[in-house]
Amino acid sequence: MPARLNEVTVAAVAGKLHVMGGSVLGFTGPYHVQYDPSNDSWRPRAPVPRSLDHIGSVELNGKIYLIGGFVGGGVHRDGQNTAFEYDPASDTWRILAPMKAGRASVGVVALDGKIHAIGGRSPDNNVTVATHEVYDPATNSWKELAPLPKARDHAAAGVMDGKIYFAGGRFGPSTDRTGMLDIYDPKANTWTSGPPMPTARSGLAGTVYKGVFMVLGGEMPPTGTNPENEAFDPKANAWRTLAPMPAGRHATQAAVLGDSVYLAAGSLRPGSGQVTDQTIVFTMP
Amino acid sequence: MRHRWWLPVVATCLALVWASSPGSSPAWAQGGSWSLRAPYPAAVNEVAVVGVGNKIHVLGGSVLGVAGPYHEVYDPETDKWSARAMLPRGLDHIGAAVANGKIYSIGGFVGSVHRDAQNAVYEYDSASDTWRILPGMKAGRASVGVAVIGGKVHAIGGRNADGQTIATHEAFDLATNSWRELAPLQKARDHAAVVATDGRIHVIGGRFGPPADKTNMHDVYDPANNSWSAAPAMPTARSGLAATLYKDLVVVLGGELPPSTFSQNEAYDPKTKSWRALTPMPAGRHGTGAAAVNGALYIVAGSLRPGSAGVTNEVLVFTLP
Repeated sequence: MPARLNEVTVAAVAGKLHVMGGSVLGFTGPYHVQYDPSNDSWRPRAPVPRSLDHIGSVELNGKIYLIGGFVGGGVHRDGQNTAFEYDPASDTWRILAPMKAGRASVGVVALDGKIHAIGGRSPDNNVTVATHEVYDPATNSWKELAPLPKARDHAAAGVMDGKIYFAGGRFGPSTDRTGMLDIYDPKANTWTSGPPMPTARSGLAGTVYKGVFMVLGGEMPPTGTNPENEAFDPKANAWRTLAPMPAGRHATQAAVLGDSVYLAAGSLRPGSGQVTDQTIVFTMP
Repeated sequence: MRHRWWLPVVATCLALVWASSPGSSPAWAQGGSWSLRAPYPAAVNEVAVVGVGNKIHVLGGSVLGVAGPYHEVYDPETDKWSARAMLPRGLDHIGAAVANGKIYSIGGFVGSVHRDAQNAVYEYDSASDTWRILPGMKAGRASVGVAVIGGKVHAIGGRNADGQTIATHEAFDLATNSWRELAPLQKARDHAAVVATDGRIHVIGGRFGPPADKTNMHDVYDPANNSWSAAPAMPTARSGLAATLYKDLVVVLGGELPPSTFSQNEAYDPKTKSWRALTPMPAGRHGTGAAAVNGALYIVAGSLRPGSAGVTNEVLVFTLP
């Protein structure tokens, strides 16, 4: 990547990887840069409508949706209720209807043509939320759904076989981490618990790749970051251990592009320690 | 310290050796050496660099085209960087200078490339790690040259909010907290090197319009009669260069386009009214700044290639014997 960015969000759309928001030297900016795997090159794209870090993002119908985020100028400050839509064809942003309240480090997934925003941290840095809202692009409106069984943020989220998987995260401070796995069934609007993630952690990246829900990295202050790469297989109802990352990291996110999983930027040490410009790629037969 | 009576003799001999073989002058004959220090904690382009209280401050700049209020300080004694109070707003291509132990940040663009120049003026007090907002210039400009003489902060040339270079010359009086207009540059330009010494301001190089339209012009401002006069031109025409006063020399380093970035390190000696070539930087760069503290000259961040390509976190230090 052409810059070292911490607490970014990552999404793939139209065959390209987008890295958005984040912080540099303690300043949260509207950074937006795009990676093209066909020529292994980066280029800047239209900045995010406002400066945010810890944004949640997902691709749906050829567009990227950005949900929430902190304003920066400190750790986990003033979670926002903002929602933005990015159109890669015109390189433009649209401001969408906001969530009912501000939050950040929220889990964001797309399911049945709608965007789910799950958990997160409220504008009060000490309070994690269990809130679960869903955005309908057809009506540009939000609706509230069954909350998480336990409030948390800095978790990983993904969708497989019509269900949402929500793993790990933290209940409060960064040391208060969990391996919880919650599964949401949209038909019944209910959560059930699944087998816990083998390595409890928060600040991790998550994505669905080749039929498994992969969770990568995370932080465990004060000692370090997690290189762990674990995957939940819904068919076996069990976790598998995959090849760990070359080095532990957090504050990055993962997205699938073509036949591979990409992670970009983040920090190799807890907090804003050793912010990286690395882009790493994982492939599995 | 013992008087080194032999130094001028050696220098003369070296100069003769160099003059006799200009095509193959070894680095030692050109003077000075370069080394690396602890990198800046981020790769940032179009920063401002100033030295105050034996420390190096790096202000503003852009990352991925976003101008940020970045501010870090380097302590040469510990070879460490630490975060300082951010600028009141995100800006790149700031002009900066030091007066009475305080840093003055003048103008700047809000983002790449050369977008929406601001008239913003800020004062930084390192003792309290705080910024103060001062009266603005009469209009927005950036890549403006800033130098201090006689208790006044001079802001010279630059590029306005419409992207045009300007000849404007304003001075901020620290005693009255107000701006006053002075004799403009003879030719409008920006991305120039601006350095004060011996009560005069030197404006060297820069560009008249697009990056390739560079110059080697050297203008000197005399506050006694509010007038500009021409001085010997810089040997290598360039813009986007870094400059500072170091060991009584006006040292101008780097720059861009065309065809790439410049590694040139040239010095104007106001006493002899002549230029000399110093040891070039290990690699060309622009979008950086220079400052001298504790007998060493520092270059921080910027880009190794034109525009925003090859943005670097390198910290170079140059020393002359």
